[in-house]
Amino acid sequence: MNFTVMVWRQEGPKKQGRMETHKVSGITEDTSFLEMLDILNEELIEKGEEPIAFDHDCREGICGACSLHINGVAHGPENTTTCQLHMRSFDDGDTIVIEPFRARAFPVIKDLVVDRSGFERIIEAGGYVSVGTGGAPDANALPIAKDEAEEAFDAAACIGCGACVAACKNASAMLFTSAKVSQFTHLPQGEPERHQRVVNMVKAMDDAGFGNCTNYQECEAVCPKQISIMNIHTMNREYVKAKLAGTSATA
Amino acid sequence: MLATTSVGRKLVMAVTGIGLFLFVVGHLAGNLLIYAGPDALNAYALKLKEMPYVVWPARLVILSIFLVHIYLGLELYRQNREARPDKYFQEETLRADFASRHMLFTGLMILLFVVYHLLQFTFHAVPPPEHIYTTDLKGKEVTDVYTMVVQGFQTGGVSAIYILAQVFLALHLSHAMTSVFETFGWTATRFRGYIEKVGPIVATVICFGYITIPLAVLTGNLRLPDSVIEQQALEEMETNMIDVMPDPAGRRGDQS
Repeated sequence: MNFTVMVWRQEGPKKQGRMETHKVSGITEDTSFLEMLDILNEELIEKGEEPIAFDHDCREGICGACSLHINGVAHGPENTTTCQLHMRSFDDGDTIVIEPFRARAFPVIKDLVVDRSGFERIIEAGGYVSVGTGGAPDANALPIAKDEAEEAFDAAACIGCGACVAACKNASAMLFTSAKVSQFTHLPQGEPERHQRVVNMVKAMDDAGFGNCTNYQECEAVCPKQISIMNIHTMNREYVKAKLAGTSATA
Repeated sequence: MLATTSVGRKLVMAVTGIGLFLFVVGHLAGNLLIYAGPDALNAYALKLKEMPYVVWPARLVILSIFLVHIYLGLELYRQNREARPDKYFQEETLRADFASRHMLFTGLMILLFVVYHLLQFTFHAVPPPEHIYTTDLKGKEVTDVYTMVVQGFQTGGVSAIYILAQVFLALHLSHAMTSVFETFGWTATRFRGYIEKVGPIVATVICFGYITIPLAVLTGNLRLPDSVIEQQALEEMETNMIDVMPDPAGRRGDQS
């Protein structure tokens, strides 16, 4: 398969970026998207040019490191992470547009690599639970209803890749933040910090410079882990409860 | 205070939006009295006029809610644009519907319409109608609101503006009335399908209710009262008579 790749090149954080066009040829349909970029990079290195910088780590769809906005959609045309996208999802001769995730809170570091540490600050603000020290508790000592456990687990599937922010027309991080709030809201372990968590995490989200949610649902449509927007509604409800209880941000 | 955080701003938008929605529903209920005849509508208008201590505070509350909603809407738009300073070279839309992506536009169109509507039917600054009639209601001389509305909508262009404005309102409400549930968190996975239909259904009902009135006037189902038609005929005759009367200089009018 042969492709024309239009890719965003930017030398550094404050530098002016531009779209650059490359031809890639002889790609098999079972090549993954990131492998296609690896092949292109090897050709660039052989020609003595700077390879394209992009984020990746596990390449098995569980770490959340890979990003990329492909043909106008975060993680491209399949509802997976970019590393799980294969070239068979494209047609021979296609022009593929590759851009970094774009948000004020996700500044470009180089080419397609963005700084997603805004997410780290949201987690630091409340993404934890208090755990009693001492002997290990007995298994099943803490009963949790099946439905609650399922909802908590679904929310916890979020890998923090940032596709929700990239896809949101407002660059809002509500889906990410709400998943992190929601996974504890459904569990008794999350009870001690319940009110403080949601207020602090929303504040950290706002401080990081993300936009506001206007219920477009674009985030849910691209999420490689199918995180539901119902988590956003849960977070809104939790926020109102916390505010009514007089909770204010501590961080 | 509340409006300093993203979730707080959503909540204030929702609360003020509900206030405006209740007004829209109440206003529609009042308007539909037109189908009960001139006396019913005129009596309702008179009743409102006779309760200034209720109507004026209510108007002030609605105006403040409206201003907060507009201000916050513009502020959210500005913040959301700032959250993505560098635009995408290519950006697709997968899920967001037309209504959700045009809330600012439909909102501003509704604002423009409200200004026009007030100038026309509340302040009588913009015709039609050229002339506001009064009528006799149980021995009282009252403003003939019924005739004003019918005369206003007999002009096709005016009716078209009203119908278009209701379409904008419907688009705005179809996203808003579902968003309200989402913003307050009054949702659950098993009700999601229903909640997503609330907005479009409510919007369609409201829009339909409002546009029946100009349509009823244009199709002749709502007519001017006989008394007004007689009065108009009389006025027309008078003007014609003045036209054909010879002027003092002896020239004949209407012939030049």
